[in-house]
Amino acid sequence: MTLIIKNLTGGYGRIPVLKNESFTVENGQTVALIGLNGAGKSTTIKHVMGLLQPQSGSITLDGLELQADVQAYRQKIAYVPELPVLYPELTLKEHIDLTIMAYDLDEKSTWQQAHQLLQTFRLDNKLNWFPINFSKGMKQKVMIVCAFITKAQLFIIDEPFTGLDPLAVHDLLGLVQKKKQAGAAILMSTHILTNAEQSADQFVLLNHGQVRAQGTLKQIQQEFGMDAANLDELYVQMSKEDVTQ
Amino acid sequence: MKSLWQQRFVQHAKEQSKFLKLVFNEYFILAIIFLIGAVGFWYSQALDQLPPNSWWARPVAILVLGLVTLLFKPVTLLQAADAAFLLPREKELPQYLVAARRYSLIMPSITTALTGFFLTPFLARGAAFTLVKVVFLTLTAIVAAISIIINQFNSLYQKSTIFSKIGQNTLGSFLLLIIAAYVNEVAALILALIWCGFNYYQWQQLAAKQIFNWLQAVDIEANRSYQLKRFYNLFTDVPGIAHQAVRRQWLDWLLKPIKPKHRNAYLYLFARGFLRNSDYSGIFVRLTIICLLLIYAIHNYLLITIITALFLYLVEFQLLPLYKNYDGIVLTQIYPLTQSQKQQSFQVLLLVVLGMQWLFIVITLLLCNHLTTQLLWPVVVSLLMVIFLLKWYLPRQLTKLNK
Repeated sequence: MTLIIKNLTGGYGRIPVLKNESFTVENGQTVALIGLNGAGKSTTIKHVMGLLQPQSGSITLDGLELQADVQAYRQKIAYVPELPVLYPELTLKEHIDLTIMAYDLDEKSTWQQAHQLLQTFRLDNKLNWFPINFSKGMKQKVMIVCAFITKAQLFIIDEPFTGLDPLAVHDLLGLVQKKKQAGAAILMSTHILTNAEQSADQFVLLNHGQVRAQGTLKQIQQEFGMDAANLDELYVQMSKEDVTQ
Repeated sequence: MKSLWQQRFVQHAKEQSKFLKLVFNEYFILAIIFLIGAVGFWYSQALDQLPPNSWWARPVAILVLGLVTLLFKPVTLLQAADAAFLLPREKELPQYLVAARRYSLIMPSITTALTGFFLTPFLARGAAFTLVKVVFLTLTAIVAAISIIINQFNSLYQKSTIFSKIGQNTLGSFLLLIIAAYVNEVAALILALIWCGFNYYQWQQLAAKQIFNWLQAVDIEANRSYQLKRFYNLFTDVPGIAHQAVRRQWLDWLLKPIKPKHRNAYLYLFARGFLRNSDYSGIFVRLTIICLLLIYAIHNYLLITIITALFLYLVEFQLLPLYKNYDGIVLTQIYPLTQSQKQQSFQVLLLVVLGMQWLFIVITLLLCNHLTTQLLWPVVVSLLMVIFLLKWYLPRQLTKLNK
């Protein structure tokens, strides 16, 4: 599974948020999108999911564009949003049922998987509750469970480390690792740099809708001319460039 | 701080007038005029039959007046964000609260006075009260109502919650009214004034020295405005007052036939939305019940034919927003499902809903009428209406909504 973003320009209105953005997410890789508030992380993600249409440039999943086959394209993606949004009228169990139906998954084996995940996230005793009344972290866990039972090949996780308790973050990273080994690609956006540094293979540093630097930590260190700097220091350096410009 | 109150008050007044205009629409005013007329007529009839010097006249008057004095809550117009933004200016808050209290006293005073006015003939006949005595009793009740509001404002500065004041307020109010009705009305008024004066004195002490209970005050205000908006919501759509989803487990058998298949995904969602969101199921239940009552009451076949067709159309039309209800939820947007699956599922749901409505209509028609050939009119026409709505009208509306 390979996600290729090529010269993407886009945003909400006429004024583009993203300007000529290009990067690639290969299978078996975790790519962390890093940038200040308003740098264009969420906008990039919305474009990848097809919630926004690019003004120019292209996004392909294994060579497939959204317009070519919406259903096949969407089947390849699972998404965990930053702000969990759930159906007010569905119970936790029904959310999983609906995911199974929507992605046309095998009921029995998927439920087995779901039970395991629910246990991991300590939700297994709340199957008949309305998750809309859960706390933010618990809602996020529901979204994680719904995303990770799919057979998607690209997992998009928006700000996974805010709102989750440390144990859940640990479990989530474990899940990501497993999916990666199975050949999936993971794209996550985050501010929590220490977590990103530990869990991602590649980084894309976004600034004002443009890719400032990308690659492994080593490559980014070279790009900034700061050997042995950690992600935190590189991030601060990037924001300093703004001031001097 | 005073200007903050002014600003909030203007906003509050605007909002209230907007909602009140919607509540007191011409139909409601008409209904109220009839209602007042009917109640007034009943009241005068009842007064005629009231035996003079009934032992229960005074207790009833005390109960009514006492409950009215306890009905009101302080109107502070505080907002949740105030607990963060106004903290540094807490010392000036009493200015704001005094203005708020002044406004909070208007409604209780007027309502208590009006209650006293309506009770005058009742007390004059039932308990042989003179007009002066009724006036003193009412004045006592008004002063008690004012004391209660002041007391509730005081509790915002005290460790005791507003609820622990309920006992004190109830006792105070009823005790004063009992004294006025059974012992001496002048003494009761003087005692009420003393109570009021004491509460006012306490306010000044508290506001000068104590810490304000921000969270409690914000909670109380939010609660008060929520109750009011819930009332307005009976007449119109109030933003922010959404119907909470209700589980309704006892209806789960209706959902059983929807098999967990890929093509049923939307139907699975819509059916649950319909049953558990009272916005939709409520419309269906209300309109169907009204329709059935009309069938029961009216025996003109032509009229019934028109009514049943109309109600089927109304239900169909009112359920349309459910089609777009889930569009804002990101999961719906990224599911690998198609527009045509969505449309088909919604049509199936409406087929079931309108089919059930038609069935109820037919059963009621058969139960409430003699079996004649004329009865075929409403049965057949409403069936044709269902077919027309589902086959012709609904698909066109949905195509329009898809754009």
